[in-house]
Amino acid sequence: MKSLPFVWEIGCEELPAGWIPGVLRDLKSRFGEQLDEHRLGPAEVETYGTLRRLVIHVPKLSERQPDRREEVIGPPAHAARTEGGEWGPAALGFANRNGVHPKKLTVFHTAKGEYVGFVKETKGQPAQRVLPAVMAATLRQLGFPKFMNWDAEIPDGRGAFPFGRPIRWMVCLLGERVIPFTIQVDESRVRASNKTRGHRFLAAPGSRPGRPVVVGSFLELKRQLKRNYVLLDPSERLKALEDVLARLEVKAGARRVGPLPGLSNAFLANLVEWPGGVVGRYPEEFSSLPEEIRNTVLIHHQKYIPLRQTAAFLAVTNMPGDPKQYIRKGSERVVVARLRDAKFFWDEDLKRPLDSRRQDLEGVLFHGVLGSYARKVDRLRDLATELSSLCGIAEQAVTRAATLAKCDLTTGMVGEFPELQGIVGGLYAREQGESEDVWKAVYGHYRPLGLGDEEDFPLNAAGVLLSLADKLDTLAGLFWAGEVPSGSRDPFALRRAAQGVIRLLLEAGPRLGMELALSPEELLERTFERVEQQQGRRAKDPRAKKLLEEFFAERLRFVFQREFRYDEVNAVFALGPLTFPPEELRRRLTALATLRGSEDFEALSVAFKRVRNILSGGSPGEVDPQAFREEAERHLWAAFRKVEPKTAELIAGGEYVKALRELSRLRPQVDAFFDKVLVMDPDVKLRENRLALLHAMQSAFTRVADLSEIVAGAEAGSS
Amino acid sequence: MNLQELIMALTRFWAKRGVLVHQPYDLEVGAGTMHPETFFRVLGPDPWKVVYVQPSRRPADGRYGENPNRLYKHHQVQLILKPAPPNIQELYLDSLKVCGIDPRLHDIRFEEDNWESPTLGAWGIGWQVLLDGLEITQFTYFQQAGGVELAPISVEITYGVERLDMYLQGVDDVYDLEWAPGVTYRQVRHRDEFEGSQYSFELASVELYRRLFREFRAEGARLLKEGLYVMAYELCLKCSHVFNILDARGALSVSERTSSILEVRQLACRIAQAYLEATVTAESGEPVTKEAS
Repeated sequence: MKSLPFVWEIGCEELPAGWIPGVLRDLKSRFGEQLDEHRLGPAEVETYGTLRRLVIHVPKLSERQPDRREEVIGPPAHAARTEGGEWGPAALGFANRNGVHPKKLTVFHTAKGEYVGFVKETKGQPAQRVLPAVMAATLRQLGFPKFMNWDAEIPDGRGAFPFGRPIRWMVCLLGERVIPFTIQVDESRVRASNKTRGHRFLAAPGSRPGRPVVVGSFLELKRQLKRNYVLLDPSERLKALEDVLARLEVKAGARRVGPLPGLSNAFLANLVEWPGGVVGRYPEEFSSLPEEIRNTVLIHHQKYIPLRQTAAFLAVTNMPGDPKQYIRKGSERVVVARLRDAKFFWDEDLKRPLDSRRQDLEGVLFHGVLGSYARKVDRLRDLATELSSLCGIAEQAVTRAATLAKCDLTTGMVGEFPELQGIVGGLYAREQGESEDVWKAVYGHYRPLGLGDEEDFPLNAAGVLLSLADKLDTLAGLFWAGEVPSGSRDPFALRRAAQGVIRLLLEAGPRLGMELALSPEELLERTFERVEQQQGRRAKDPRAKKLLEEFFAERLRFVFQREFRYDEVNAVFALGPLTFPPEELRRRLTALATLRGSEDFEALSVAFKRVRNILSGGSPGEVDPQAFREEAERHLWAAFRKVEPKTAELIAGGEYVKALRELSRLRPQVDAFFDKVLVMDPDVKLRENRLALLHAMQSAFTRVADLSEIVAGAEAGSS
Repeated sequence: MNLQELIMALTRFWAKRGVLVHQPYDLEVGAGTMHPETFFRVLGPDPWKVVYVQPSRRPADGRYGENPNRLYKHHQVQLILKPAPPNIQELYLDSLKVCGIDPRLHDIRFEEDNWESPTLGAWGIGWQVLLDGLEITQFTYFQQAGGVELAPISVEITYGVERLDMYLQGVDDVYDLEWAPGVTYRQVRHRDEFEGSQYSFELASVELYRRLFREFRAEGARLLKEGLYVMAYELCLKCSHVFNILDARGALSVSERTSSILEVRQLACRIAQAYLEATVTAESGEPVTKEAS
């Protein structure tokens, strides 16, 4: 089959840089799928793009669809003929419905018998006629994190066409020929053509920016774009950016700080079409500002790259040069203005001892019913101290840190940079001579903020306890006050708080060697009680505590389901998600996940579903070995008696994998039992005895987790 | 270019392209978006083109006249084009050229920034336009206003006039800006910056403003019942400003903030509905009010 090269450029207004890799991948899959759907596939599809254009290149696209030969099957042959051997009504009706002359009917010999049918031959359409449908479907299916309405319609009969950003031009060529494709936008149209656009502000010599550039192929598109200051290929653009940054480092005489989370070179390369950059400097007086503050200004606000040990940074630009130094000067001005603000606050704030701000917290409202932050600090201090004495850790530091933890909320710095709360408190504490344990605890007590980031954790044990106490107090306090989050509203970020608590309990051991053998049940209980005590009354809603527990259990489930399968989580949670420390839940989940896929284990969980169903509602009795009649039940009991104590010992020692393996050894006996023994025997004694046996086994088997929850046949690992 | 020249240059640029030049709204508002010329005009099917200057009060941004970059009240040039022209980005860049900005010598970028006004039930998708790292314009395709999905889509372009002019004049302190030949920003505005800040942060009577919030809201609801959606919207704006003062005063807890925003938003959404029900498009594109029933 002949093939032609195909190129399609979707030119749009600036897309968010962070979207581009995902969108290009999605575009590639969708277009490939649509080619297959429309019988022009399979074909190699390549995608390229910048923040202003998405490009599909298919080096070899079939010139036309293959001809199709289908066998359309109708009624069974024996019913279709008359006695004379002519086609009967069934066959004629079938031919009629399909718009086919009866003489085209024939008999097919299928595996199911003989059927009347006809051969349908469809000639393949030329690609240029099919491509518009492929393109329309691709555009419809393309996913973006957020869509916008821009009054656009594609003439595919499906009406309004939201997209990531407005599309302003398109190039679409199959071989040399422009594929007709139009998007209607209000009263105007975007029509596919052979004209692209280069860089917004720069053009090839002899041309002008904004003037359309004619191209005849993908290679020409790439080449012409490069001449007009657009690097289409993301990997080329990344390389160009890295070269620019390396060159600027030499010029500045300093290396970049890195790696920078959230500001990778790949991301920076997607912010521009033609990577350029400048070195910016700021006055030395601002070097004394802590790095955290300088970096917030440079990295988070401006997306600039700080340089090591120098009062300077690199700014990525979309221009090859900076002839009048406007870009450098402009970027410096912005940075200096913000640093000046920060320095002003730093100096002003430090004029007062941090703990003197504690009384100011009376005037900062935490919650209408719960009161001011000063009251929160009271609860926080008491709870944190209690937790630290329960764990035998750093009591004095924790108490002091709790007193200081929220004082930075009244500082000018946090007023200006709210994202630095906690960090600023820690820095001020350090500056004012607090001990390392104390300032580090304050510094890190808002962490973890999420679930994904390795670095996102308190710096020390005191910080962990403070963070725990703060999050628990927020949870208990707000639930007590009736602020229960819903599916769509969680204005106090209680989900995040609960997830933070869970993460702290799971990771404080491995990371900081802390032993926090505290169950959520106990923690929530203590915290809730403390709120009631301070507020002087119970919660208005008597279910408040229950709701809090359910909420927390749901968050535990959420966290664990990121790593384990839902049925594994169900199995372990059946024992009570809040009664064990999360670490303990994790050990059991790990054991289940490890044994998953082992045949014996899976077979046993099937058996135990059966056991659960048989036993539902009954009460256990005593097993009387004398009352057994069948070999199979005797063997099962004997095997169980041998395995059970061993298992119990292993469980007591926390060796769950070994315990479950041990239990799995009962598989042959369990299978034989169910094969040969009728549990619900009409003889009462036999029946009750067998039920008692099953009860004994069930309670042994559910000591690690409720194995009847495991869904057989599933693969190991998380879903 | 001094401040008044900049404002006139931008206004004239759009006036030449057939845009109606309106005037600032005569109530306290936090942004040009809140002006009825934006709030009402973006609703419904009728096209509209308007530009105006809007002094915008943001009590929480007050710095007593001492911060070179932050103002209690700054000025915006607000543009609404409905529907959005297909070459709107290019037109905008041309408007920068009349301010003396040669894009070949700068790094001008459209950086993702979506905008939301919870009190007005409005949000949009667009960018902040950066001029060498400085944000000078908010460029937004309105998606929703008053809780209503919009069609056609309006584009909103909001120039931050002081910021832009500080850049053009090469001045690091807003108060040093030349407003008119020989007259500085300081001379024109310093006293009201100071008093505005002191009032919002320290002296505003919390009791009075809480009462005003309740009463303005009730009055707004009452006017709406009478079918007076324009006047009801004025009361809504008053609520919004009162909220801003209470917020700057630190008088609102997180939950009070949330519930107050919700209340203003509910009123704004009902006003939007009333407007849509009452207006009918005439041939000329001018909304014609139905008889109030």
